[in-house]
Amino acid sequence: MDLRELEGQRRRARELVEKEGLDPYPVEFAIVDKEELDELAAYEGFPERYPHWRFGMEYDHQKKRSSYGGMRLYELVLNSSPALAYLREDNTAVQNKAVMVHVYAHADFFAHNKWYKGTGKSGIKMMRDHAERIESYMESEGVEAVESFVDKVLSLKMTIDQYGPFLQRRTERGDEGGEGNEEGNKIPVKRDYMDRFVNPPEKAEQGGKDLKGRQGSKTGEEVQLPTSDLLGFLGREGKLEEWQREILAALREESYYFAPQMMTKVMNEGWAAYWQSKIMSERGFAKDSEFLDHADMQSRVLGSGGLNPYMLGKRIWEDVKERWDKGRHGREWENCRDREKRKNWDREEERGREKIFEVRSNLNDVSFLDRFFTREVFQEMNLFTYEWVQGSGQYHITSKDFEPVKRKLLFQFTNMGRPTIKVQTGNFENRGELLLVHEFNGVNLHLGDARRVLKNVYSLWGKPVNLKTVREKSGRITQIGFKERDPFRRRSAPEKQREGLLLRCAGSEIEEKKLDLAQVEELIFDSVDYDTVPDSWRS
Amino acid sequence: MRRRIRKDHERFKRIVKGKIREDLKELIGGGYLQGQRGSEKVKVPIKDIDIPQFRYDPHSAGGIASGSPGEEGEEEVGTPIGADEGDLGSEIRPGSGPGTHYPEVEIDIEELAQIIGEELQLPRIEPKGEETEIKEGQSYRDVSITGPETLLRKKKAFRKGLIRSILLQAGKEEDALPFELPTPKAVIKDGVVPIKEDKEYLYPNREERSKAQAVIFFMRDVSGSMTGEKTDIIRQENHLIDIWLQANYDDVKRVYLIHDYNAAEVTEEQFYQLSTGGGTRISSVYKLCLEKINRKYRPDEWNIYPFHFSDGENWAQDSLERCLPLLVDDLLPKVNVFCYGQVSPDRDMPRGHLRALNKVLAEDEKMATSIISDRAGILSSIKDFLGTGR
Repeated sequence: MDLRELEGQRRRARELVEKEGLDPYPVEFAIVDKEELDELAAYEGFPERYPHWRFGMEYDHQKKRSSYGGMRLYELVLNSSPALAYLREDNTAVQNKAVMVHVYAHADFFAHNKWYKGTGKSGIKMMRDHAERIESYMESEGVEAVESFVDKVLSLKMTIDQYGPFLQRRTERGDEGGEGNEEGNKIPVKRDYMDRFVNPPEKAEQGGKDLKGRQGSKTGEEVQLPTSDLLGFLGREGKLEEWQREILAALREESYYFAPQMMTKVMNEGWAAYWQSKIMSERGFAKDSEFLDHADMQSRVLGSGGLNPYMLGKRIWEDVKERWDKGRHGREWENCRDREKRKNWDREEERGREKIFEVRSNLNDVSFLDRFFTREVFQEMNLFTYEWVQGSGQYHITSKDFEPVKRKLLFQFTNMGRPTIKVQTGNFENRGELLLVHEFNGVNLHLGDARRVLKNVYSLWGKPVNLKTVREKSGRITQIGFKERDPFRRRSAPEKQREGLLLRCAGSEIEEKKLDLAQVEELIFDSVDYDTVPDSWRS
Repeated sequence: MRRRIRKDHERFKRIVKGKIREDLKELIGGGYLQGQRGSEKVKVPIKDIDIPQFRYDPHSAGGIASGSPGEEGEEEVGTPIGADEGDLGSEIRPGSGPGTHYPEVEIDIEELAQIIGEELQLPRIEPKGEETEIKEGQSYRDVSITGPETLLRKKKAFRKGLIRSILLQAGKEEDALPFELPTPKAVIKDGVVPIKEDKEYLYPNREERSKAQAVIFFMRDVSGSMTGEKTDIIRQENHLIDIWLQANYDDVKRVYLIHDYNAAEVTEEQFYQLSTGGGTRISSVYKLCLEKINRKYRPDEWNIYPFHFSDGENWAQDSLERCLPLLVDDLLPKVNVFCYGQVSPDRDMPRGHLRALNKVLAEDEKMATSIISDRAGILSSIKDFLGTGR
């Protein structure tokens, strides 16, 4: 690889993206071989992570994927300023150019999407600090003890309040001055940008009426309950030794660091794919002789199966651009049912560019898909929903219609695709037990895994841990492939059978107790029906 | 591989092996160890190696996927699209990312054999007829820090030198990463001279070729009563035997013989599928086995392992008057060990054929017998057969 040529390409790539209005962090590109890239991928791109077997597992899988899975990893970029990205030494020139543009678009997204504001600019340094800290605890406390503790914390890495940082930063900026004197009670945090949401200053009392939801903590501080930040709650209130508290705080900080990337996967990947395609093809960054190679590379990325975030995101960005260029929005557009008229609709607004930059700054995947996954986008993508059918022991296609597909899509991105679990109280039934609740949206919790997680929570909490959930038994489905039969013979769906469950973990055993629906009523949030099984299938 | 990832990787592999050890009985009894003929790997489903998270029940959550473009119309509402949760949707959920679910782990046959060997305390086999020759191979897959200049990896050395030069020039302020790096261009202009540490040389692989070879005769009764559960037990047992012998020999050949009243050689597939209604005459297969040995496998060149499974029923006369002489006079002198397994889910007492064998050969070190009354007995039966280290 000719480094001078490469540097020329890099400078050109930066010029081209800036000309389009992108404003990326500076990016450092490192040249690595295939093996190094596999390693880095295992560490989620970071040169240094704390020692842990799961990185070894990732490495094992990554190596297999890249060696005989035919999955070539093209691009890996870290959210940091400067950002760090990697180029494989055996990349062709056109691959390098495409990766650079793609990476610059990500670096623009990191720098400007508002959900990333809390992540700061020094992710690489943070990971290195954590690696050093955890390594030093391994020396003093023993590798086994530390690794097994890390396993337990990682079991809860997604139970954070991913909206918290953003909301608190906005509402409580004025209170910052008051936090200096509480140093002793805080979760230790090394960077002050994190501090604000890891240890949010107390909200003003909203009168005494929600006392039920609050409790005095061991440190004398008040914790606002319920909270989705189980990890933070355990960090404060759990029965932990000092080194454990430190490690928990570090891993929680990493969770908050990664959360925005999980909340904007479709947007971010789509944004990068969109600009890559635009600049390589339309702006001619790929030479004529390279055109085919680039098309091939792109089709590999965009064409891989399942629901591909690159493809989905790119389609939506293109659609938004076109709609605001042609004025296809607002009430008149929404209400227009004339197909011909819609097809030719062009008010020559030319606001597409402005719009996409505004959207990239303000939305996350849920709001992005909610607003811009339109019937038109849907029609181009051949998407379908599927559900499990007990009787056949298989998943079956249940719908190819817009509304169910969109509902399912939003379900998969809401709360990062995870069930919502909250801490209700740390003094359940006045016994100092922890009570977690699962906010039931019509989709069951995986109870097997929940049991395993509870055991981990138990060891962090130090006393029995309870989880309230709701379980729905689906009605028996008898007809599949109903098409041949009389489509008008509709049968009503059976009453949904639901029951409440209370799991209680007091060590290695887990008790399970059925609850009346009345006891879990306040946990049911099922205004949207995510079940896409056609009514006609049920008996 | 850098030290850091190597340590994490080793740690992961140690955990996997520990899990396999823990679950070995269950894995074997349930028939979960799946190997492919010709592959050096065995797929093992590992329970609970992932880090559990609160997640949706995939059966309750359903999902969304895209149909293949061009094939529109093939996917109708109602079409079944698969049973395995891993195939669908799991990649697309934003929270899943890497590391969500790995129900299966692949390990080397050699490693699995080691685990089985250790768990059962099987002695390593000392093959006979082994000759080792070392020859210098043509492939250059290893690297060495010394070597002739013609085998120097020039590009790599240059790159390492370049990186070293860049770091040397930049390393003034150690704390603040990312520090200002000089551009590669500037460094190249000053010239990059690879030093000793930068240099790697290709190194020819030495291939140790050992000629230790073995032949396994898998024999089974396929008469009416030998079906279902019994077949599954034999399949699992044979698989483990195969793994162990493969780990002990460089070259393993397999011969599959079935019998009812008569015997025949079949393919591996047929071996487990075929079933006949006929009677049983075990001597027929012992005779066929002997013929094969005499024709193709000279005992001074081959390590010979016959394994025979039946439900224990045979004519007393056949066992005593034909099988025993065949074993004592012809087969046992030629084989490393002759193994007979009575597969009888309903009982764990010796039946006719085994009683006959025990009468004469109970003390013979080349004869190994075992009764397998259920899947849980597979492991101890392997121990009966291979525990002699022959």
